[in-house]
Amino acid sequence: MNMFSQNIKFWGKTKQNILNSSSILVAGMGGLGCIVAENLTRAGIGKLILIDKDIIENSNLNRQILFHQNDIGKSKVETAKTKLIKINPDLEIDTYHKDITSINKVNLHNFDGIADCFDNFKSRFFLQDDVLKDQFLVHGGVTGDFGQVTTITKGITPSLQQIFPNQKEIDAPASIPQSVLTIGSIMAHEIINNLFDHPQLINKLLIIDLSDFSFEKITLSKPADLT
Amino acid sequence: MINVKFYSLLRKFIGCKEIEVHAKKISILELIKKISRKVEKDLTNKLTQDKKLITGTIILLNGRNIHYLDKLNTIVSDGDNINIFPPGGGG
Repeated sequence: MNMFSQNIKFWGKTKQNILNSSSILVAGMGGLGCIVAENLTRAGIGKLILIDKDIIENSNLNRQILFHQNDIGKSKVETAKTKLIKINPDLEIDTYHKDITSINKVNLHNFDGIADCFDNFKSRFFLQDDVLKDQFLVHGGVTGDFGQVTTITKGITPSLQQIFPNQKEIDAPASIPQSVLTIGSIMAHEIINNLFDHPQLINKLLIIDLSDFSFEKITLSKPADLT
Repeated sequence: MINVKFYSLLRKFIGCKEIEVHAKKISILELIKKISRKVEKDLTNKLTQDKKLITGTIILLNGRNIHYLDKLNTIVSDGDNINIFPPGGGG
């Protein structure tokens, strides 16, 4: 039995082939990055590009599901690659154990979409500037039991800067496994929606609040003076 | 009627998800002050400093960030929808 037989039962062989020929850049291999990458791997994505400058720390293990005690001190992207290949040996993975700002961006253009799993707005804005017109970026952010997800496409949706101006960076905001795993899985589903050409969060900001299990989609408009 | 929705920590602070404010035209700053009086919580002090919105808070007027309108002086009208939240910043 094919490892993707249950997926094919649901969305069919044509869509499974689309996933197999698609590539996603996962920007940030923290809590969201781990769950997005594992979801996409088990869904049958053909290629992942993983970017993160950090090594694994003990405090990451509450939510970064690809990492374990004996991984502490190792590179996040290399460890994630090892674990993901064990799930699907046919998966192609490129890794960048670097800060996003130090990577030659020419190398980053050969993919279908981006999973924005960063933990700070500065890196998010830097990355978004290089998204091409035919690519998409699925943004996710989480703090405590709360977070948000949206799809960004050039010229069609507001940019991340237009949605999230005036932000302060919080060093290591509180994060618990339930919210990170929920929001990461929603991000992975929206990435697959984009690859299947029916994104659900274009000009919509999905706000998830686990404290009362509320999910709400806010319709976004572009700033009038920036359109 | 102006519909104002709160999320995350603000929802916990205010003690409800949503408030309806009766006003034909009002600035965002006055709207925040009005809500503070209505819920008897100092939302004004929580969201503003020296008549400026504190960093880390998003206010959307009909899906558009007021940062690109007239900030706290942005005029809200009857029928408008407001969303106020601190976005999740972590990954």
